[in-house]
Amino acid sequence: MNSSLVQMRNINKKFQGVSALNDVNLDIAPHEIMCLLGENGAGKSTLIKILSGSILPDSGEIFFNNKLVKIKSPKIATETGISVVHQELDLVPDLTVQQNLFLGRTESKFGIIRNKKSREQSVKAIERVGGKFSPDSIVSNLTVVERQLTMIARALTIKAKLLIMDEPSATLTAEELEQVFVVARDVVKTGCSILYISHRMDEIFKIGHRATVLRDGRTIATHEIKSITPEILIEEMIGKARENVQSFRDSKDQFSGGLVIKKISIKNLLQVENIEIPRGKITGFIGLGGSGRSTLLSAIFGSIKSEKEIFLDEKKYNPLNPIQAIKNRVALVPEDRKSQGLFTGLNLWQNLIISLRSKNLKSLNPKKYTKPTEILRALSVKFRDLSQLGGELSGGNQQKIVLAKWLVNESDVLLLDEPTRGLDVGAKVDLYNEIHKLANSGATIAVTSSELPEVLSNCDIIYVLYEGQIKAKFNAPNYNPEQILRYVITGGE
Amino acid sequence: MNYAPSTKVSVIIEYFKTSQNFKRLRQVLIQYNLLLIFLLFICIGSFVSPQFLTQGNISNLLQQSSLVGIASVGMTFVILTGNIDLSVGSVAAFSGMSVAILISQGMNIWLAVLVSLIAGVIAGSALGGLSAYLLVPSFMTTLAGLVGIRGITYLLSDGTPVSGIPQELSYFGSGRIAGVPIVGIIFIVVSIVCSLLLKYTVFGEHVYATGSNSEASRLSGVNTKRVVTITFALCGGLAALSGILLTARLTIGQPTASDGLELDAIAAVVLGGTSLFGGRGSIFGTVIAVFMLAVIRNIFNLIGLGSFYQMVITGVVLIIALVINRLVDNRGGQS
Repeated sequence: MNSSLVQMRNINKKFQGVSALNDVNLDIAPHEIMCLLGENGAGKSTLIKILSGSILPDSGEIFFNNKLVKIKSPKIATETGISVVHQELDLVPDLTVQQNLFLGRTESKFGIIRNKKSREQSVKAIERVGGKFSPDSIVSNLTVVERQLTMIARALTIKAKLLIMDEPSATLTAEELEQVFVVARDVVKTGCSILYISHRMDEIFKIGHRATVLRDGRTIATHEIKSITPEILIEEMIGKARENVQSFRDSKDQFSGGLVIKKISIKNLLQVENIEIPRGKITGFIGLGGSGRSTLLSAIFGSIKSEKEIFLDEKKYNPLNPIQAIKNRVALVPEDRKSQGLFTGLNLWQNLIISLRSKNLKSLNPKKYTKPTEILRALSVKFRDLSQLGGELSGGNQQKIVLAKWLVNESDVLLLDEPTRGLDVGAKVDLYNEIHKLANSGATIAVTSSELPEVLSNCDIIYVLYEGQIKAKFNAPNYNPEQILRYVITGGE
Repeated sequence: MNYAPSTKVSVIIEYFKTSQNFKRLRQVLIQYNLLLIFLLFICIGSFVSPQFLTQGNISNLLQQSSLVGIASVGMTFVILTGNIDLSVGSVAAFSGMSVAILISQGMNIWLAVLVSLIAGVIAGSALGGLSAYLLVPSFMTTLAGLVGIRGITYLLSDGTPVSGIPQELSYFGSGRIAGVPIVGIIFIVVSIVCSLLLKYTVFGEHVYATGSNSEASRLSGVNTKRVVTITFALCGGLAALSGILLTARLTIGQPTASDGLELDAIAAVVLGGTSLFGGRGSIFGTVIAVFMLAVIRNIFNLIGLGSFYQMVITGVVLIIALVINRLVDNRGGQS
């Protein structure tokens, strides 16, 4: 009925009861560069995985060239004409470029490799993507951009009709990216469509024809790039700022001390100076994915190496590793609850006492040592008893367990990296209520987020991170959402 | 005058720093480090004992190292895919025992050899297939094989040795052609064939691909499970060959034979520069490492060092090799 190359209709996908995609629709026309936008956790990767056959949707239909297709495996995706240039670069590092280009369909006679035709084709394909490397180069010796070009060359040799580029810019310099763009435009001219995943506005406006925005697993809108502004796209990505926002916070300067960061620097990742995270307040760090917000918290916690000068309550605090940080009662609640925060296979009691460095082992008996239970009650965690496994709880309660672990340890500097990620609305509010209580009782709290409304209504101080630098600082209650948004998008230029 | 040499030095340093030359030099050193160390040990050997480089001693060396060598070649395939096979010692003993029993029951010698070889292939592919298709670590399935198959071997003969190996077969175990032990010739032929298999066939390419990045290989349409299973089948077959040749040499089938063969084989493969994480390595490296371990043992024997010392020093050599292997791996990842 129309001339779409790919149509995804009402795609649904749940992981362990949590909805990752909710009636998502996506249309890609022939010869088009369609951009897919969304913050971390918006559902972009899930959508790509479905399109490339890595996972199956729970429901929904995919049409390719107006024919209903079931993409059950990566092989079927390839046969259909879909090829992915992954962020993690799915090449085999120890093989040569040519071997990679033809892996899975190596030219052979009786199992013995014949290279004549493949040779010609790989030379041609590398030339077409503007690569200056030999087909015999070992992939692990190539630069990142060369590997991406190899991936594109691979797509060309299998005559893909849809090329999915998953955040190609994440690891490229501006010039390298430009080279990739030139190739991408050329590829589109010769009959291939591209699905370009990114959340960097400048790229999208440079290369895209249309853009689809995802948020919280839903399709928010699709736009012609020519008739849209970055501001609108970003607002759709991170949520509309409410009119006349006022912080719900009503904190007084009754506490002194806290974290004072003179400097933290990590080459090519993070360069920040003069950040204050005072006691009794909630300090928010907002920025897009890749702006350095998680890196900043990890650096404060000592879990990644950095050059730094930090003071905690006016004393020098420069942790070399998490153990030193924990001794100073600094705690990190990491971004990825399941893989970094919670021990899903351990019970609640074990989860709660794991960071405890108590010498009195007798105290480690749930009957005598009731503090963990008290803390769970105080945080109003819904649980049966302490022998329940961490993985059995709901997302919001899991997050509270990770937080409670640190409270058991009497940590009072809490670094919360996207604490509300993957939580439903009720759980978000609930979690923030507890965070507010902690701040009011004198804890030092830093929160990162990519959602503007959340930061606006919960933080006393807001820092905007852009490409690893602090670009602006705002104090409650006088927030100007438009201005903050502008800093988030452009860094203020 | 003071000025000139220092600039010369700096020119040389620049030469290595700026261009590809340093990279190339480093690559050559990394690639051939084992060969260099091997040559060093040969020099040490000929230095400490005049008997070292005699034809008799070299022939002995070959005789001693070939059986481990054959099993190590099979192990190389398995480790290249990022797996491990702990069952080779037991599989070797089983096949060595079955060939002795089948012959003593009156079966044709060559048919008995063939049946025993196939038994090894089946054992290997069963344990490997179990690991690949059910996603159980091969460490565990082959550990089960190590215990279970050794048990079956004891059951076959009630724990006693089986004799009666005819001349035709024992000739393969201890005979020599022009002074070269036949087991040595078999080892070298096996090594060359397997080396060609890895280098020039699609299967070989898939072995490297699977070990290097299993997910990417799968996404490229490589049947990684089948590739892994075939490497285990090969490894089992070569282990069986090693066991049969041992029976031929001893002229009896012993249920305790080839005890610890898996450890010697793994040691040789890793020492030979094959990455335990898969994807990198070669049969050539394994062969050199097999010879090197034999040379080290030989030197100890020639200077009269007790076997307890030998064990300790072999352990230390292995640790050093592992550390080097790890460093080389890291560099590869960075560049």
